[in-house]
Amino acid sequence: MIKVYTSSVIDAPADAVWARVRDFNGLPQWTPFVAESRIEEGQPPDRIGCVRNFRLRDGGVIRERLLTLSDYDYQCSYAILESPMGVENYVATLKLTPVTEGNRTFAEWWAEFDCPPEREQALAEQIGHGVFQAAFDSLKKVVAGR
Amino acid sequence: VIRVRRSAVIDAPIERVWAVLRDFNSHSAWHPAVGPSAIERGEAPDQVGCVRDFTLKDGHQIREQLLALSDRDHVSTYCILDASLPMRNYVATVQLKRVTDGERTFWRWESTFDVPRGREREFEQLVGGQVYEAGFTGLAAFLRRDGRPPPPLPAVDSQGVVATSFGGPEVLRLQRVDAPAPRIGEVRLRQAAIGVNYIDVYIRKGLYRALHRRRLGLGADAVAGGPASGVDSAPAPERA
Repeated sequence: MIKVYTSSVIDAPADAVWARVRDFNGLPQWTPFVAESRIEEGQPPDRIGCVRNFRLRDGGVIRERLLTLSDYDYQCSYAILESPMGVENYVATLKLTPVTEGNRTFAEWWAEFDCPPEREQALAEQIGHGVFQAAFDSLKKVVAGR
Repeated sequence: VIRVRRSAVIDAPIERVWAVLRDFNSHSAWHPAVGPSAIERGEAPDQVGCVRDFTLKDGHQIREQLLALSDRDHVSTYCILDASLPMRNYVATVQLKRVTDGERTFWRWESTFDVPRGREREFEQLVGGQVYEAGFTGLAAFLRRDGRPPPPLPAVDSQGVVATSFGGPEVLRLQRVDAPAPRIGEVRLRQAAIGVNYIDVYIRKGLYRALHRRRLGLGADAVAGGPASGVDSAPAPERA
């Protein structure tokens, strides 16, 4: 089991950032790498257990199940059901915390998963940098233009 | 119950911020509202259960006890034991988190406590503003002017007359004693002479529960020897 942790500071109030990221079906609106997304079986995107099915710009398809969603803690977690990444037991959590000084947001995103040992380093880099940090960078621009 | 929550981002890596905050007696070196502070009974400032006794610059006196300390989670929890302020059931938590995007640190400082009815807003502002927010600014400034923490002074060999148990002069032994390196906000004194007083007798008779001090002589004539840890520069040698 390895753990990847990425954190950043978003220059917008936590309420505004959360309004963007709480939509489990909203990845195309704020990440640079998701082309389209839908929730399976017509479920609402904030119903625990719903599955998002999205296509990456590079063509890969990922299915993820919503495990927890807290409007009180600004936190959600989800598990990968299917992906081209070759990971198992993948569970990720995205959490926001208000920064009272400057009315900004501390954003954390971490994941735990299993994979063959020789792929650990490359996957940690890909997920921590290529996914989480890239999404944060994109999120900063999206909320700045709100 | 009042809940106060404040948080900030400090422009320094978590290791540097935590090295200061984990020291329960460091606040007099970086917090603008805190005056003299000491850990009671000579305990280490990272010993869970230790008590810091300090004076605020406005004159209020506070004793606080360290309840929990985690180097793994970068968390410190403490409570007020006594204060000349009308605050009751005060428990506070300091937590740091690493900001991987840039070498920065997220710092959360929270507490819950009770005050007399009608004074809630006043104390929310006092604790949140003059303690927590002022602390964020004070520590950031401390880290900026401090540059790097000064290299720790080595421990030195020293000797003292030590009471090994209660009793008369026969329990006194001349021994090597440990003179550890000063911590943040402390200076090392070179002792020129000590006074032996009635208190040394009272301690050995068991009148005061203070045998842990063990060393003879509570009054001393001394010269500040080395630079203090966590200050800009070494003070000129000064008679203390």
